[in-house]
Amino acid sequence: MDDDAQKLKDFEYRSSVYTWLKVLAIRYFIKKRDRMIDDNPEIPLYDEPSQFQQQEEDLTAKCDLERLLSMMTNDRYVMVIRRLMIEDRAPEQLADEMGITTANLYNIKRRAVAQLTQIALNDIEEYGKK
Amino acid sequence: MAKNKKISDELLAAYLDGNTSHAETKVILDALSTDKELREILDITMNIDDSNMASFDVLPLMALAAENSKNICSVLCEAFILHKREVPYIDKDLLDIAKENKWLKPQGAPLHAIGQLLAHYGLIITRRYNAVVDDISQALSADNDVIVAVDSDKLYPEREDLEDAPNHAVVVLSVNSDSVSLFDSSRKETIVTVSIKDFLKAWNESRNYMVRVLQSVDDYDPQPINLEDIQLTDDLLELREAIAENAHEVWAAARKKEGWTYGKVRDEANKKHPDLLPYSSLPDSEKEYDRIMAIDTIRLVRKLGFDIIKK
Repeated sequence: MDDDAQKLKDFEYRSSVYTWLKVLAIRYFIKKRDRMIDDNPEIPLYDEPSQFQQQEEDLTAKCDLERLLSMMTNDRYVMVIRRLMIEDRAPEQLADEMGITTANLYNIKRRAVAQLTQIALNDIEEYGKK
Repeated sequence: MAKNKKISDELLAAYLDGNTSHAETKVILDALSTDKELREILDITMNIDDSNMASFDVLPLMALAAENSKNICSVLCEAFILHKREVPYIDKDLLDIAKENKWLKPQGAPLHAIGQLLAHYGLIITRRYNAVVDDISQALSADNDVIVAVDSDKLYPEREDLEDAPNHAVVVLSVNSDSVSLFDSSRKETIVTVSIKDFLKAWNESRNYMVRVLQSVDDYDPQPINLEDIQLTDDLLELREAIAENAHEVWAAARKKEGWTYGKVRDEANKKHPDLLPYSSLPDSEKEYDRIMAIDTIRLVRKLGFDIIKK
């Protein structure tokens, strides 16, 4: 892939390598398909923590996370997303509270995010672009 | 703010692994509504995710893991019904028959194996996904017996709920708007009453899988699985034609072996059949029948969580 050494160097371990590579590969091949590979994209990226501070206070944000959570059918997935993403609880602490291993929590949170994402995608498909 | 910014690979991967903050999650979900590429990436991710979360509701097929004959709840449910119906049987035989026929497997018995023993002893059973409480009530009022697959941890809230999976079979004895009475072989007191709320949560994990033991064939009400949400790629649509034609070949070969030959009209006595023609010569109405069967078979394979990969 283009500039792979630099990409690997930039990897901050915020996810598993598997998930990161999956995202890289999907994006790469979408671009390749569209013949739009650009080594130095001009479009800025969302990746700096400081960029989210203003967003944190943005009460008019288009997507209502609470509404999406209310559409999820699995209470445990909702609880895991609330604790980890909204309350910023440490995974080790949550796993301890739930009486499960962190490896088990890892699988649960990935399934929870997948369900949340699917609901968000369906929501957009159903109600159009907001 | 930054409407035209793209979500970085790192951030998106962190989101998929559940490692983003509230604000970051909102940014990604908001971007979904305007960023077509992001939607496509996530859509692909959902479909190739190894946690088996597909873009449609996959029906569970394997469940009820039976390790060293410990988890034999489905066999015990069937024994309970055989006993209730006064069908003679020997306990040990049930286990042997189930193992011999691979209805009980250490790595998980298929949901479709529930009820096989009852059928083996001559009872009439039907199985279906997506049943509702009314279906149970209706079955019980017709004096039918009902086995359902559940997540046992959700049935009893005091238990730790470690996984979302149908891992247990119970017989439903009665149901009302508040509670459900069950035969549960895992409990010390095998007849238990649970709240309807807990029952529904536990049952939902099997996508409301229900085995109904009929009193007679008059109770039979066919309920094919709804496959409308399964979209097929062009490759799989091509497969439809191949399956349809081969299904016709299999049918025709069997008929010919039985002595049937082509005739303009169907004649049971003289074994004549108007469809004993090459597939290409069949009228469209007949081809359509085979195609529907083929496409629903492919859809069912996907609905049950399997993928068909072209080599």
